[in-house]
Amino acid sequence: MNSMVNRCVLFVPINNPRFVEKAWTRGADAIILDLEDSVPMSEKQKARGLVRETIAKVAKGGASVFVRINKEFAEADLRAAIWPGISRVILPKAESADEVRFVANLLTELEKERGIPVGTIEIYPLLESALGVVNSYSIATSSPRIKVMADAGGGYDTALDLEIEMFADFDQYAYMRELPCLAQMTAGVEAVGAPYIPGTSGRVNQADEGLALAKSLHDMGIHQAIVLHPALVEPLVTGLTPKPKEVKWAEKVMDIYEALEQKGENIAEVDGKIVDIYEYRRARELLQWAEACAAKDRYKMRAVTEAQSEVA
Amino acid sequence: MPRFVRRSLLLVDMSAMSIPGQILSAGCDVLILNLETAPRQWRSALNKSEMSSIIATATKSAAEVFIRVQRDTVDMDLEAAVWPGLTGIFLPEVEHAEQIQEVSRHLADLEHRRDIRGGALQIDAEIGTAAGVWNSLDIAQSSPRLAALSVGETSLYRDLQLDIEAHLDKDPLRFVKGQIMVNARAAGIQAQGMSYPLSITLEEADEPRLRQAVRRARDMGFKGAICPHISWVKICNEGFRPSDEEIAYYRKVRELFADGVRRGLASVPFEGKMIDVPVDRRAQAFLEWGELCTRRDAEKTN
Repeated sequence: MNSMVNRCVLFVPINNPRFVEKAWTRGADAIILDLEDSVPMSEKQKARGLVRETIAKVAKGGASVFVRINKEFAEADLRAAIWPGISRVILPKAESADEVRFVANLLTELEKERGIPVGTIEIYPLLESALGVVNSYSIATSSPRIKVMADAGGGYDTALDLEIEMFADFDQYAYMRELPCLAQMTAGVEAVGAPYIPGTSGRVNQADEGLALAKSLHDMGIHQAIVLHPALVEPLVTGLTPKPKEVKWAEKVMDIYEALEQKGENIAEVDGKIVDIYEYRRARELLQWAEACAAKDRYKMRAVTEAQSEVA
Repeated sequence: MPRFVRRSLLLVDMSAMSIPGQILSAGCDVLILNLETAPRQWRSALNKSEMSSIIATATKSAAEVFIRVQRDTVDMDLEAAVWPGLTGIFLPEVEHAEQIQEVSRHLADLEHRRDIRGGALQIDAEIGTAAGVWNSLDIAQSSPRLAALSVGETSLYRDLQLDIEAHLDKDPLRFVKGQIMVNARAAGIQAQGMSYPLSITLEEADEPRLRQAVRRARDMGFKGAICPHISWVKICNEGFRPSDEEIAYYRKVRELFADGVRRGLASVPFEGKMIDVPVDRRAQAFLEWGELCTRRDAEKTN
């Protein structure tokens, strides 16, 4: 359950010691060690060499640790990056099932070689082009290692592929978001997306925009986001954690529905809302999610306390 | 980078042997000579010298020339209209890849018979029905002759039985247009389309509205639009290319990024935004596109 909670996933450029040292204090549920666009071409080799020693450093605050590889250097990156402690590989610009299978096969080989139970490491494809969107279903079904994947709504690479400006005053990415989302849900893969939010500035450090993002994600039933700036961590973690009011309502729905079932009934109106089997399932999911978030928060807090006492 | 600078594709009704001077001097990137609206008998009677002279007149305006044929009489129209000088064929209501392949075979035969370089003639496929939208990826991948998918808004409205009421902010074809554009892009070709509702109402839109519609089309990924009216041409030519301010901005982006790379950085901040590899490459693509558009415009004034 702990590894399922990734409300806020923070990119950390692995070649920047200042960012790496501070990463564990940021409060993110997961950290992505980035070998791709955060690392200049001239430093790729050096960056690969840093992964193994960096895992424990960024995990000190209880965050899961992911790695984003370069698609064009997938093999070199994976050989350098797959060590115990890495739980997920972010595959950017995913465009075909074959690319995923290539990564999956190499992961199996490396897991065997390095004492990691086979099948442990997830693959998280990012759809960032028209071709990725078109192939979203075959990508989503290409490997059991895919539990979560991201649609192509609004990323920098998608804008590059389509040669369009970002942050327009209307929803430019409707199709690119909605089609992959359907494909992912059909494939039984959790869909992560970037909803359109009017008035987004494109500035990467705006905490208030982080809150708006969290609200939109929450409303769409999406539990996670990847961010570039630490200022967005807190708003996202808070915004994607169920509020006490929501938890209370869910508990009430559970009680009411269970009482209805006892009486052989299955529907009731409570405070102007319908309580039925669907609302019951929703409530159950919300409570499970709230419990998982609480467990993750306890885990992080313990880890931070320990790390701080080591420092002291 | 789009392969072709085709921001404005001006539709001209053909029923006479001449093209009005104001159309020739409109400055459009493409002239689409519309045979579809011409009487069948007139089309079937067109001969080589008449058609060649129309094509020659049209190309003198520095526009590329396409012929829009009628769906039910494609073969007859191709025989009547395909002569040297033509850039390609605009095919309405395409629903299946096979249609494109059939036309492509006919074009190959005409190229052979009429002294046109083999493979030179292009096809623009207009998607105007639900079936066409559904099959648009297949259509986009159907032939190396295929240059673009065009959104046929008016026919889509008829086919989907939508009500023609104009609300700029509620485009009922939002998803459909995204689908056509993404499928074209996935196949490596470009998409042409105009934002709702101006191509439906065919009104003589005021300039600010038209500019906004063009901007929206561009922000969705369309590289040009079919112009039903001469007054759209200039606005499309300007609206589908980066403005002077944007060009200055992209140059700045490239400068800052190059400077960052020299300092060993992979991303640099600029006005609160992040510039990294994809942002820099996008700026480069926009600058190259702007350059191509400038060159294309210069050809028209020469």
